Amino acid sequence: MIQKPDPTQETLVLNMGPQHPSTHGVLRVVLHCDGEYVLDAEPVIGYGHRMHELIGEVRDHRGFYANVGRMDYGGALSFGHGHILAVERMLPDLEVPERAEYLRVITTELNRVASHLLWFGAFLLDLGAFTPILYSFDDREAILDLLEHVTGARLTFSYMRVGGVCADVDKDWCDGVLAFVKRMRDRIPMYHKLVSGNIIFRKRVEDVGLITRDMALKYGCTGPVIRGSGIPYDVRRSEPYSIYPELDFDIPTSERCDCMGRYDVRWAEIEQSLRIIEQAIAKLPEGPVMAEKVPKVIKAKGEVYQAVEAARGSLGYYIACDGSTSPYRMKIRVPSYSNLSILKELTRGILLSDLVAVMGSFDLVIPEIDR
Amino acid sequence: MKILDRLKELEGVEAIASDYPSTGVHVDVLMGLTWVRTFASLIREEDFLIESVTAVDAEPNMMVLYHFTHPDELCRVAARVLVERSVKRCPTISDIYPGANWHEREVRDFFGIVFEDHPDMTPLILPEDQVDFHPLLKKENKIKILSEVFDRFVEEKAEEASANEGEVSE
Repeated sequence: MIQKPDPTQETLVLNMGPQHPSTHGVLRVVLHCDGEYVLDAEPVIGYGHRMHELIGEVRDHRGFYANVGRMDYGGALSFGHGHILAVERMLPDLEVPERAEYLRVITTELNRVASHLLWFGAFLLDLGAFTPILYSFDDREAILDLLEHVTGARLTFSYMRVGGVCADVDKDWCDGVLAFVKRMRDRIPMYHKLVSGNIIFRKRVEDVGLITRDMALKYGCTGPVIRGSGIPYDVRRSEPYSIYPELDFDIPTSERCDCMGRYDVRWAEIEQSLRIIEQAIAKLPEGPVMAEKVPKVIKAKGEVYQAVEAARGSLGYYIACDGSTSPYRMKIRVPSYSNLSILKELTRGILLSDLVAVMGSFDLVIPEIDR
Repeated sequence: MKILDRLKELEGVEAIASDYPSTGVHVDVLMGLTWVRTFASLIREEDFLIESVTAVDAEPNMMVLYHFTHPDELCRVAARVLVERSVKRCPTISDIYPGANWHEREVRDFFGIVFEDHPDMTPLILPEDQVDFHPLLKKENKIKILSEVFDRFVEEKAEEASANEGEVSE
């Protein structure tokens, strides 16, 4: 006699992705579900793997620079900043002009705002709200126009060089940036009115995906994810680099620990980035944008670890050099990789629709995870 | 630094202060394979955040490299452990730091180093049917001696050499 399976013991295996819209790229999550509840969520990554670390060992430092922007297409400039700072750390005699360092920070912060706006639109899209992305892309477009004017690119920026930046800005551009800062400040209340107070939105994100301080440290979460759990860890302040010590800005945190906490932190960060941009434009010194003497061939020896705050968290470049022109080993520590690894523990027993909210609140960029 | 003093108390762990401006690391640790888990527990007690686990292929031994940083104070710890190229086994820390789980799987993918007692050693980034393909292993003409690349191992060699000289003169 064939035994009928007991429906109460049955679990459903569901493949979310790799082409699911809310996985933002080619991420696949294998779900074991009991009805609407997730028993186990196992992310499967590597669909967009390009082995950037091996390419880094084959090319010289400058040759590899173009690759770093391809990892995190949302915030390419901070990836470039980290790489250039790591290489410059190996060249202690190189003096980077102050103007170049200011321009690096201004463009990186503009890029951070653009990245957060992209996240905002996509997050709301995941939750079923179509309208906000149209507004956020409008503002993002203004940033991309500004960045295109100075870097020549709109997505995978390769603006920085060892010893400076490749192009100077003029007064018109600075005025354009200040105009954008003003415009963005005026728009923020509109966003909050449109989304942040919305009851449907709040019900979807409040008390969903609670990450405690201990969990965040164990999993190595960084960026808005750790700050949304009340830990003020931001590489720009915790491990100051570039000109950030000279600027006045706060590290927003939230004690909520849930998706709403991470949402609040990102919005507060946009405001802080605007503050940084405004100050940096006001302080922007005159002078060259490239160091006078930059070695044509970079032959370094030794190892460096350079951390910077990317839009999604702490980004680290570990470069070990044996004295030849290319690194012996290059490791890129990307923030989303550690942030996503928490998903399995975080989503045990939650609703399928909450899983989408949790993944959206991480601001995942899959090419960055796959590298 | 408090962590440096605590690490110095462990006998199988050799901790020295590193030159932060040139390396980006404050404490440089070299430990034996059996001390990895003790080290990880200690650094967990001190509330460190795991940054990455990676490896470097070299002669005569491969090196597994851990990076930790502290969220409240400026302190980065880089810990190294040597793994024999023919054995390729290392204890896991994924139960102490669950964040190391994926990093260790990635190291297995790229270098073939198996982490003992790891809950799941299936390929993570590389395809599941390419278990024996390890792209970051160096080719024979490219591989270097550990001390040629890492200053940390140069001094040891010099010390050993001087010790040997001492024996000879005796």
